[in-house]
Amino acid sequence: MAIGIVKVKRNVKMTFWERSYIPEVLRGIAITSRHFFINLVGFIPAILFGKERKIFTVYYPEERVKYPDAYRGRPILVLGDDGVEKCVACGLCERICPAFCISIQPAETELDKERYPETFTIDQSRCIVCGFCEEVCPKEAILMSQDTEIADYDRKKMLYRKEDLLVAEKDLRMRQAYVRGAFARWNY
Amino acid sequence: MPTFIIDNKKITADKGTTILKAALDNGIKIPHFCYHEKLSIDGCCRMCLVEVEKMPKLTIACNTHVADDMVVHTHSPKVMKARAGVMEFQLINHPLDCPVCDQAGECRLQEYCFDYGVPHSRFREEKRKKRKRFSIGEHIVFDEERCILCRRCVRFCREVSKTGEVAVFNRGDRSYIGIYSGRGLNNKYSLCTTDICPVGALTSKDFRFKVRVWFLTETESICPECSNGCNIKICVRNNKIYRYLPRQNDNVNDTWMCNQGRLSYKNVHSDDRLTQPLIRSGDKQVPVKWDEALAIIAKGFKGRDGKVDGSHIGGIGSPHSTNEEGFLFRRFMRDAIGTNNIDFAVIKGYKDDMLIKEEKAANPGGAKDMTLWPSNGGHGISDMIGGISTGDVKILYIIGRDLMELEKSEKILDSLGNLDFLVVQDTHVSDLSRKADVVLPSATFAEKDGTFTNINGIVQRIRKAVDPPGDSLPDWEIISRLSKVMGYPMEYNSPEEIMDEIAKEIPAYKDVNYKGIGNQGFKVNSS
Ligand code: SF4
Ligand code: SF4
Ligand code: SF4
Ligand code: SF4
Ligand code: FES
Repeated sequence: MAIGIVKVKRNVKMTFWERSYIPEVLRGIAITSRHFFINLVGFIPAILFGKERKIFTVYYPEERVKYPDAYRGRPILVLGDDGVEKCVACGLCERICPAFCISIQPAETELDKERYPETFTIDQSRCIVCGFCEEVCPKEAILMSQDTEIADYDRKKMLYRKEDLLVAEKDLRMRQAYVRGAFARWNY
Repeated sequence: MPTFIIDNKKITADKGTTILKAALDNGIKIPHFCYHEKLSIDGCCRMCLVEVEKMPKLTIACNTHVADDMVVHTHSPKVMKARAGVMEFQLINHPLDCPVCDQAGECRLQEYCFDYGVPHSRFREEKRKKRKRFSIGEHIVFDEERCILCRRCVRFCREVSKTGEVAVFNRGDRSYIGIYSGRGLNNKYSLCTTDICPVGALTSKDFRFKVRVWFLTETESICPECSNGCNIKICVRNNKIYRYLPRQNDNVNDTWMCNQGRLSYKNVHSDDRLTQPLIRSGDKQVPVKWDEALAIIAKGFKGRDGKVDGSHIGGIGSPHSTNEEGFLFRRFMRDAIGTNNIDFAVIKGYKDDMLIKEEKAANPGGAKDMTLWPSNGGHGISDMIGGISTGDVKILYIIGRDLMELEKSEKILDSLGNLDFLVVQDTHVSDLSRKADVVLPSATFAEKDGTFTNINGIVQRIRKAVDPPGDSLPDWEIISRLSKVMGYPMEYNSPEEIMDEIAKEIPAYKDVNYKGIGNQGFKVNSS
């Protein structure tokens, strides 16, 4: 398709009604006000009676947007269905992380998986949510979540320890499926 | 001396050299599992196949001698195909353990898999199951599934440690590495098998799962545990030592080191390190700043008349100090203090006819070379200790605590209580340091530069791998500062400058300099 320039013709000839100014201004104000009031109370039927919502505005933080599965929020650790973290402290994410924000202390466990992370810390103030850790993990043990609310007043509180990072596997099926689909294409 | 061509490169090697050795010596890589320079040739892994023109089939490089006019191809299509085949066989029963395997990152199987393997497995059958993760000796864990039966460990125990406890049992794909019943892989060098095991089958209990090897930086140094001076690499992450590895030096330790030396890294970070200068105040020792401690020593060395009277002062050096430090200590005692009462003590212990030597310190040879002994009528250790009760010796400056390991250490400790003034300079808290009026914290060998002279007179470099803890300083810096406070400045920027001074003063060391020492040492005719 050839790219060309389209000249839009605008009608600059206004009627008397339009040129008299005040009525049109009032009409504009009315439109704005209508939207304002609809937005102010419009969520009530949607929330109270479950009606289909007609407005786009989301009442954050009471209401939240559902991000697409491909969205990368802060990384979390997967707590397997058996109640044990999937991570084996292999150190690959620690190595690949371009922001050097992961630190892991591996240790030995009696379980079949042999090693586990005694400590696993992500410095969320440095993480750039690139998702490399998720991609490199051989155990599907670290996934990007939908959580974006990581701001805090104290940098020290942004050090997420293993306990803070663990999320049950059953809540992560969507992302798991997405990751499998996305990375299977590259034949790792 | 046959001359032959390998990968279009003309090479001359001694008669009887194998293709693999000649290639490795000339920087040509041929993958290999079972071949080890210091062990006999086994030829069982078939990874080192190369193509030799006019030979009907591919041949193993590790057991084929070079001959005149041979033409060898190490990366021809035929070779690459054979290698991929060998890799496939190696991996048939190999577990997919890399994420949990401690060898990952320094595993030959992993590396060769990247370089020569095929990305997909065609093996659809059931993998052979074997025993996983069990103790095979005091320091070693064994994983049978990961073993590729290269038999390096078997040959090591037969030929090097000469203990022969390991062998291959059973046959075919049921064969496994085992220990003769009633024994364990417990020889004094057993941890070397974890180095030479090309995969993660034999791993060190001590190092397992502590840290990933790709996070470690290596510093070339010398083992401090005995006077053999085995060459080592200090592996460090975040200012913490995780392990020592032996480093090849054919004049000293080939590629081996003993378990005790290997595990001695723990001393560097132990809880009882001295980290601040301490001075006595009543029954207690309280921490002070360096300036204060040095000023107190300068005062303590002076008699009531405000003069330093060397004849009542003795200095006991340390065989753990470097040559540079021994040299400075000797000069300090002789010139700044004016005494010939200089000596050092060295602990003796177990020895064998492989590496482990009797003297349990890295540098007794160097201490002797630096003349840390009584000369011109000075007192030795026993005379100094004896002289305390007669009032002949009133002040002692002691580096290290080897004195405490001598016989009658109780008695020595008692008589030290009668001194007017005792300075102890050491790395760790000990009964000796608790007796001192001033304690100076010093750095261990891993925290400083310098040289050690081993039992055969080979001068070798140690290099700083981690920072000294707290306020502690290397011995040479402490002596140099103290000397300045005493009004006899001996200022140097680095041990290298001190070595240049040593070369001028000590005839045996006249050709020694840091450049010449390199990483393989420099032989001197020591006394
Ligand atoms: S998302 Fe990127 S920056 Fe954040 S922890 Fe993972 S690898 Fe590091
Ligand atoms: S890559 Fe995965 S298994 Fe390895 S340490 Fe990171 S989260 Fe754990
Ligand atoms: S021995 Fe090597 S290839 Fe085998 S699991 Fe360990 S690291 Fe991986
Ligand atoms: S244990 Fe290691 S060194 Fe011994 S045969 Fe097996 S792979 Fe080779
Ligand atoms: S290295 Fe030659 S056969 Fe193993």
